[in-house]
Amino acid sequence: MTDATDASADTEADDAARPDGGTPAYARNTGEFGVGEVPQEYETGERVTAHRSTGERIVEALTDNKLALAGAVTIVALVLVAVFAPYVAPYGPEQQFGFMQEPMGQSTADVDGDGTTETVTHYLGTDSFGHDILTRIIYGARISMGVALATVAFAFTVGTTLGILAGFYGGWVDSVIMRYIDFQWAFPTIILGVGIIAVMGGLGWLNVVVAIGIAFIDDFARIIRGEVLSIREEEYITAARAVGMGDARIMFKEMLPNAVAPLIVQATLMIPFAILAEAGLSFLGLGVKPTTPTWGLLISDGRQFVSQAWWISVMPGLAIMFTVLAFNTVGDGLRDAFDISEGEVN
Amino acid sequence: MSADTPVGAEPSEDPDSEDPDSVDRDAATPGDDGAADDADPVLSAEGLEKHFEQSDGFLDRLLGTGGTVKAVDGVDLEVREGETLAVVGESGCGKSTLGQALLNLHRPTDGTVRYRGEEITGLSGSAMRPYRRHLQMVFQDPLASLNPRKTVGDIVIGPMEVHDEPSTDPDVTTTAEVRVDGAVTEPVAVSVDDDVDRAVGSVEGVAAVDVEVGPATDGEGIEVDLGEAGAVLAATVDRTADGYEVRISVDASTPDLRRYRAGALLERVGLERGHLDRYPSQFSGGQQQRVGIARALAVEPDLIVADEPVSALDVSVQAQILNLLEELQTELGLSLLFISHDLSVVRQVADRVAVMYLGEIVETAPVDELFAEPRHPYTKSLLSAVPRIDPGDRSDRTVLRGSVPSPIDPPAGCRFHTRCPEVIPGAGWDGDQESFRRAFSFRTRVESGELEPDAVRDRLEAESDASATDETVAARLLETALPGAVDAFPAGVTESLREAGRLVAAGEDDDAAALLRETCPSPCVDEAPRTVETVDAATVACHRVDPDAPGEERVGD
Amino acid sequence: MATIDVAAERDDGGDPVLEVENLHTQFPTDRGVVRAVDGVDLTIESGEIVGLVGESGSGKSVLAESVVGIVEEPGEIVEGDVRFDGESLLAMSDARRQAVRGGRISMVFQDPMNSLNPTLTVGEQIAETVRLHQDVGESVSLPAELKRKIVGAAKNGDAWRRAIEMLEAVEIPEPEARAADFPHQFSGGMRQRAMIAMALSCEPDLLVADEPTTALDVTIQAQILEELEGLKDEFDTSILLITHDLAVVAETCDRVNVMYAGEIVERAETEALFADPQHPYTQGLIASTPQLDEPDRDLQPIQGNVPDLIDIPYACHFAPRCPEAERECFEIEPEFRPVGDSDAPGDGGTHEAACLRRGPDGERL
Repeated sequence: MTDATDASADTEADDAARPDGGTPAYARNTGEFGVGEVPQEYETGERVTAHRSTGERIVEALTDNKLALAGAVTIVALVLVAVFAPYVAPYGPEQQFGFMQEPMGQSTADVDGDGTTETVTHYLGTDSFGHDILTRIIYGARISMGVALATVAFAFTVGTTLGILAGFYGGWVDSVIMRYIDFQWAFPTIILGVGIIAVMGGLGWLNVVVAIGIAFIDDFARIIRGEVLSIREEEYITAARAVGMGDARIMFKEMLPNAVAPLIVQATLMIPFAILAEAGLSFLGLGVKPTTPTWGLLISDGRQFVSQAWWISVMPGLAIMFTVLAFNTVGDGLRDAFDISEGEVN
Repeated sequence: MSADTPVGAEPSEDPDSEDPDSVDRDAATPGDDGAADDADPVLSAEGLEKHFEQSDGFLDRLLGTGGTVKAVDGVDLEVREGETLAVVGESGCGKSTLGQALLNLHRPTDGTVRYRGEEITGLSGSAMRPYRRHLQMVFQDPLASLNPRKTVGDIVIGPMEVHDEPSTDPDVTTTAEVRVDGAVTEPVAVSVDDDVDRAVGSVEGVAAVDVEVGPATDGEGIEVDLGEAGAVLAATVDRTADGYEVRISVDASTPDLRRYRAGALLERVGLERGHLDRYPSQFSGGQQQRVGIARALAVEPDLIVADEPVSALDVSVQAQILNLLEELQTELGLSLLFISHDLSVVRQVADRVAVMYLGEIVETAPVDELFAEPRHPYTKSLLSAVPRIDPGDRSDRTVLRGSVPSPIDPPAGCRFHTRCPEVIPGAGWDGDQESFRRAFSFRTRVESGELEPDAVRDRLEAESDASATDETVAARLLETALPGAVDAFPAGVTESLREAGRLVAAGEDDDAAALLRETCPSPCVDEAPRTVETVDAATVACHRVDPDAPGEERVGD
Repeated sequence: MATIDVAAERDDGGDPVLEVENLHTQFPTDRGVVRAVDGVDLTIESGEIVGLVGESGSGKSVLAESVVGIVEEPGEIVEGDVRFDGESLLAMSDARRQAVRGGRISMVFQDPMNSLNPTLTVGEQIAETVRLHQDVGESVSLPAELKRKIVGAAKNGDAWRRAIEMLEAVEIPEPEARAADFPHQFSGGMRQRAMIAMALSCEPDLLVADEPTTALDVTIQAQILEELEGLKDEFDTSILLITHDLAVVAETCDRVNVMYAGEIVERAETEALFADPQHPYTQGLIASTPQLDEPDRDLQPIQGNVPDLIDIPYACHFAPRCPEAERECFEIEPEFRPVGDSDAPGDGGTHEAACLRRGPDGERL
């Protein structure tokens, strides 16, 4: 190996003919500022177009779209309320007051348990058991939102996996999976849910999650399969295979990040459906334990008293409506931001 | 070996070496010296075929056919150690499919592919994986070949993760390039751990660490500076009786080592370490291609298949990338399979060239040989079609008529015969080759069924407002489909051509074709040419070159 | 060269076909204004082929779009003028400009598939252009079109016959039959020929060809270029040939303009330019082009990349990549100077470069 002195001598000797750094042979003069050299006052700094990760794009979509932002704020508020229900709710979920108090109605009870009675206001009234409806709705948010999120997470995971497998391998794998998906798609969600719960037997939130989750698989599977079919033809997938990556790595590390945007939008739009489905199952008495406060059960409870006490059903109904609206505005905002057509994601 | 050059070794041992940015073909031509021929070629293919079934697909319905696209149809080639073999051909000739079939990215329909003598044809994903680290690929569209959701760092590290790199290679020796600052008086012994080649790349089986030893800043003992490699290497200094002992060892987790090496690779290909966290879309086309090259180099391959690596780039950037490839090849002893449609580029980078037409290789030759004396008529036409900057270099252009026939149903015999300016007259032709070619091109058109007498008739009738007879339609057909005048042939031939024209006009295409086959027969249609060796391991598949080929007359050449 | 005589002949009579004067075309973006064409002068005389060479990002396609008047939103011509036959295209009424465009100026694009309607036969598309821009006595109103479609009368009209003639002129074999084919039934080279046939069907005075052969194979490229040259003579059409390929320009054009980062940096007769390139960019471009007949020459790439055309602070846009740049190059806008050897054949004093370090002894930096 050459030592340092020789190195510099060589470099100088070669300089005349060096196209890099030095003067290329086509140049007729040497300038004060050679190739790539710029007087300081003309430095323009390297311009790099910003790369936006999926997360950044979501944040951007929400800040640009006021409606979506409002939705997102509502969702965050709801989640916080649900998580901190014991602190937020005015009373305990099982605490009983006067029956069927109107919204803003008052009752007297020993709320703080100090032996003396106080007068308390029921902002949304009380139900037929004397439960404070606002409290029940807040506690109900825990189950309703929790079940909805878990359901979508379940459907997302299973559906995405099936869809990727179908799209990636094609052939008989694709045929088998997609025929199953078609079969499932032809069934109304709620009936499928009822059927699954019937087969699994017993009540409980886990059963609800699995039942609705399975019914939602088809949407995710279809979307990701479509994405994978087009991504499969991309050159970077050929490149990944040329590098020697295994199928699993290609599917989940190379393809999935490029297909995740429509899935996120779909997930956002599926949550309201999950809330509704859970409410529906609960309403039918197939959801969680009948005494647990969930939005669906609350509506169901008020059903027979609608003519005397409309608020028992309407108030949780409004809660569902606002939640569904919030998720939908966020989903629409994201869909616009990711530039996904309505046909692709429903 | 790796792209990482020790700092002290900058100008390389050879004082006469060319500057790294200029293309120096001769330095990279070990294939020429004969000795290398004895060894197994790095990659070889024999009778390689890749056919795509077109049944039951969308295209099938569109075209109303269910044929087989013979993208690659019986290709023999070998890439020798350290050489650049260029595969050149027009779009649709199957050169890209060939490249991918060689790397088992398309499972070949038939034939064998060998890597250093070991058969790798159609190996499954996991069985193929060990070979993939030796065989890498660079793609045409640099942006499309990089995953848009991954950072450049992830992209370059990916292959290392797949192949569990960096690992230590028992065949690589490690050494230190020691520079001692003058102020150190006592002797310094430097030892390097065997596995240091995980961090610093090796050149020709030696991984060298650049070590600078100077007096410690606090005045006590010595201080060791490992430069940039200090990020992943550690030096322990022991005081001995007669001086110092320095031991260099790897001091980093595997992910850190990978990231360090990815940075070094980026630097090697002309980017910066700081680019590791950028995304592909944030680079220019040339820089993206550099990333693609860095990815290919990450597992220290023996051979890179470069599929049109510069055709999507601007001229000045193209030159940068070509020079980079050349430089890397010389430095790392890489073999290159360079797929291109651009003869000027091929001329610049290749050691040997294989010319491909419709799924077959029609000529191979050392680059100088091929360009100085092309033997296959297709090669000649291809060369003459290349536009030249210098008017002095322009020759009479042989403009090929027509376009490449469909690979679903390639022409019989020599596949080039439908466009060949030198098609050989068969037995019994008593005119010259030129007139034969004219008659033959009429035959080709009739056989292909592209003549449509009804359309000609419609037009004639529209022009003259009278009904056209078969006779006038035939005359017009001959006028348009037969180059030159119909009576400039030997009398018998002229009569046959006229008769064929009449038959076509009457809608009896098959009879016309049969008549023409009889009138102007050619061995080029009847028999596929053998691939014959000419000089210097050059091969040509053309009846004109084959001394044993059929055909009575040999004109020109 | 015969073509030089043509140019000389035209000098004493009549205006040039096209004059572009100090043209500025800009695109406002989030990051600033992209000055895609930044003060370009260009003249095309009758019956000549003028080349415009540049790399991607040089603004050559935007220049073509500005000439033809199809700059895409939000781009706009903010300064300068485009005169066709002495008359400003920018000042014309929309209706008149529409008549000129397509009738007297036509354009051929790089990708013929994108510019042909996939649902109409090739012949019908050419015939329609003819009907629109030439008086063949065939109405172009919707009822008339429908009638033609239904009755199938189209194939007897003059326009249809003209379409077949044009296909024949661009050497498409069996034009009568091919005219009834749809674009997807054509090969790439045939499609480009059909595009040229369509562009020439109204015998335009100017044909703007934007990378007409880039998507084609070299043997097909040779056919198309030969075609263009022949058609220029046959129809006496001036051609603006836009390409990145120096060799294509060298073989085909009478005069050449070299464009870099929105500006023209050098212009000359083709022979003079390639015999004695003057602007450092032109020299660099030639030095980085691999040439078939000089295999032993080292490629010398121009280091760096074409700058973003947003807010370029320095005067000569090539200065940062130029090996010869002085401080003045960054400060003083380079004007065109005569650089050629006016005695050399084919020069005629028209060889100019915009570089401070070139030109007559006194002016040169």
